Amino acid sequence: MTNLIPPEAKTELVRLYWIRMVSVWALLWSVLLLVGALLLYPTYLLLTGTSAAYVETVASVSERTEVFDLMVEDLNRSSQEAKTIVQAAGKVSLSTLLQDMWSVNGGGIDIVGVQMARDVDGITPIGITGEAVDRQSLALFRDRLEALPYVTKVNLPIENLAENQDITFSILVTINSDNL
Amino acid sequence: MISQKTKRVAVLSGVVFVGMCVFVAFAVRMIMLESVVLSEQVAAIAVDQSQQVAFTRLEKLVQATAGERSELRSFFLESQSDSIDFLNYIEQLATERGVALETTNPKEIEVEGKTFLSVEYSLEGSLGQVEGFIQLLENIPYVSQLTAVQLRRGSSLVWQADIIIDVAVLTYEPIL
Repeated sequence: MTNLIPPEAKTELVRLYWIRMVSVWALLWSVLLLVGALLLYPTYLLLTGTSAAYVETVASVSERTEVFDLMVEDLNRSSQEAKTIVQAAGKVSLSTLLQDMWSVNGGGIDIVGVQMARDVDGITPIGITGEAVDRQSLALFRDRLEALPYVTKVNLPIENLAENQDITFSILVTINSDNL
Repeated sequence: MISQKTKRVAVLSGVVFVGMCVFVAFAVRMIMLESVVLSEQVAAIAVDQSQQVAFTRLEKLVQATAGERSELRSFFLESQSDSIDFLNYIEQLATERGVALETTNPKEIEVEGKTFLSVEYSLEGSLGQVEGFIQLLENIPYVSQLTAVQLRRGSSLVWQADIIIDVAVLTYEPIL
């Protein structure tokens, strides 16, 4: 069969064909997309409706959660306070040490000063100053201090023993806080 | 030659197609956002329901321990007015016991991450009075500790002491 259409017209015809073809397909897909969108609408309605129904419940839940968070924080705070109190109660009392120092006083010894302090590691060496009747009483005082169960060292400088009588002394007592 | 009608139909179909694509994409996005919101709500409600028993127990615990926790808190300084009350309390104790007391240099310090009100006191009285007051300071109803004591004889009857006392200030480190 002879094709009588001239080549230019044929090209134009093919272009026209494709334009119409694409237009039809585009319209067809548009309709399909519209149908798809319409089918999604019930899902959207269901989701928004359910979500709206939960709004009040969720608000009360989050309010309750905030209250519980505050309660947990309150309990944690109390727990920390209790821990601090227990730690403080376990620390050595300086007044007890002071009483012990006085308990070994006497026998020719007259204590005129006591210095004690604590740092993060425990009790720092205790300084005791005083007057002793003689060397013997000072030596006995040192022995009484050393006999205390928590005393690890009594440092009595030798210069304190220069005089035989009416000795002014200064002693440094090192203690082990673990033994208290 | 392509007719005007064909051109119009082609352009219209293209515009409609693009418009529908945008519309459907928007609809899908809206549904996804709503589903995320809904799933979060459902998860929150589920968590709430699953922890209801624990929450109830916690609530009861908090109510049952309210008194004890309040008492614990009272052993700490919480505000500046508490600090003033503390200083007044110590001065009142000294007056009651006949001890001359001078308060010097109250300041807030931090030790191992905890805050303390550190106060220096100078005491004067008989040995019994000064010793008794030092003992009293270690038994006051506050979380406190004596950090330094310097006791010396001023005269045959009068003893003097310089004391530093640290009183715990209420601080809270959230547990993460």
